[in-house]
Amino acid sequence: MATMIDARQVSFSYATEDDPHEVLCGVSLSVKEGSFTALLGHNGSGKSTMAKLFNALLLPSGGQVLVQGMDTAREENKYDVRRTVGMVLQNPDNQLVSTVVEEDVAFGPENLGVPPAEIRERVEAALRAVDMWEFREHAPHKLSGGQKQRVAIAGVLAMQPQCLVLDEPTAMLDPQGRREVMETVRRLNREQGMTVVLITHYMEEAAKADRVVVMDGGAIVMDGTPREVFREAERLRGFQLDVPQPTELCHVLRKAGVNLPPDVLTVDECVEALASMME
Amino acid sequence: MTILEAENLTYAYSDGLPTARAAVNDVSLSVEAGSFVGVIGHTGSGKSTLIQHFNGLLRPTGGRVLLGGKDIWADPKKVREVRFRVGLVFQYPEYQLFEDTVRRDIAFGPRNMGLSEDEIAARVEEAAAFVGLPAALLDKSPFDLSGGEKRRAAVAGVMAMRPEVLILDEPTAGLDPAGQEHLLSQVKAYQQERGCTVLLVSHRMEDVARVADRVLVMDGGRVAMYDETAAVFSRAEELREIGLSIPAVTRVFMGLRARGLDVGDNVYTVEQAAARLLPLLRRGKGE
Repeated sequence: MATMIDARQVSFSYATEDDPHEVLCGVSLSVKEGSFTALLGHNGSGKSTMAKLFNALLLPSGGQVLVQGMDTAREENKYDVRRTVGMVLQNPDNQLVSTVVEEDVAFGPENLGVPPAEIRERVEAALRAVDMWEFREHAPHKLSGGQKQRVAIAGVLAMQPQCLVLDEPTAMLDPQGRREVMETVRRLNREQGMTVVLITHYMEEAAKADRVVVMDGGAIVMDGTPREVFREAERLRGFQLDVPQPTELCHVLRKAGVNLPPDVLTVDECVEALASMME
Repeated sequence: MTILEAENLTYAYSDGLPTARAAVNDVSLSVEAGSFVGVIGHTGSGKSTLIQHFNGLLRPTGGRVLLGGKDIWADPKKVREVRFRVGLVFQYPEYQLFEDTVRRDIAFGPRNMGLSEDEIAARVEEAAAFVGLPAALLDKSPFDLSGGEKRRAAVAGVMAMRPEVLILDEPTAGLDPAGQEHLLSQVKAYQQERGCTVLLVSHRMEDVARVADRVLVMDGGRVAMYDETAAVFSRAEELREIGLSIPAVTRVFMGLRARGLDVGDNVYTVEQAAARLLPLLRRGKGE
């Protein structure tokens, strides 16, 4: 598979005179096209900075970030980089600009100078992709949190990116809103081959990715499948993270001497593992 | 003893206009002094509107709010005192830090209460210690703190008023797992040590399960459930129907029971689950 994002020995610091510390120190990470990567780390670990480097919102102070081979630091690439990598942020209210859903989604392509007929096609495709087409004439501020966030995602999709970077898109949502957004993101990844980089503090969301990357102190400290990463509960806790509850339960039981598999991730797997020992 | 009571509480936004809509609709409930109540409900269920009545930020368009048995609006001039007795920590409270040092920011509430300088200083240090803010940070600008530290400073500012009732609206949103656990444990410790009453609004069922004695479920501006934590989380289907969820370990237990295994119910934390399962698993192995 081709590479979507290639960060090579990237450094970055929000340097001030009295605090020169580096947020990223020589990080390398390569994200494959069509993959679903979850990026974890405690507050201040450098993961949001990393995300902002992926679409040239920030530029590295050392090293290089390549998006489909384009160096993000070169001014002439900026436009194509941002069209390739779309960004969705935590608070949907900060990302909606219009008073009507479909106008909001049209805002991006309008700015790109896309012809009106094509804008209409893109808006419809984007709203259908996030299952919000029937709300096209609604006012965004009257939608629920999950619906707003899906409109924000549609606004990014209308720019036809090939990669979505989502920085804690569910942090402000209720359980139903979280389910809606996660289902939307997974569907885009599976059905449209959209490359997804998801930053989250919800371990059960990360468990659904193909790959989990853990950052700590501006460096990548773990990188593997969810199964490989979450089986190391103690190590994750050292990085101030957590594991999904079913994983945690099996971990506690294993420590008490019960012979359960170390890499249980989901509720169903947990039920299966426990039932097979009790039946 | 009841500390806080809502009596047929109704609140309509744009009251009197054709667009009037009741965000809270005829809610009656009472909160026991010293209890820890988790408040859950989907976005728009009325929970934020409800809690803003408890410290007099909103005035009911119908019904009453009683604090210690007295209508808080009996004398509207005195509603300011209610705000010292019922402390409210908003969502993303770090955006409300404004002073030039953390110490002055935490002192803002106590100073408004007209306390002596000595008393203010003592309360600031007590509150900072409660939320785990190191003394070295107190003289820094709040804007130089990390996100998690800012959040703790903002919570300390409300704790420093030593409210009888502490209400927190989504205090852990956006914090990393360690930060969430830290803040929740400190709020729980604060409640137990001071014997005060806490209302915690959260979208994280696992958090509510861990710290709350009782859970209030809001739906469509009304009380859908208000019961002990175990009783509420045993109604998984109804919770799901109103856009909520139950902790993952509770779902594990439902799965086991569906397989015909006699594991019992009332389990909503990992600790409870492990304690329940260990003897069953050991017996299964013939030990």
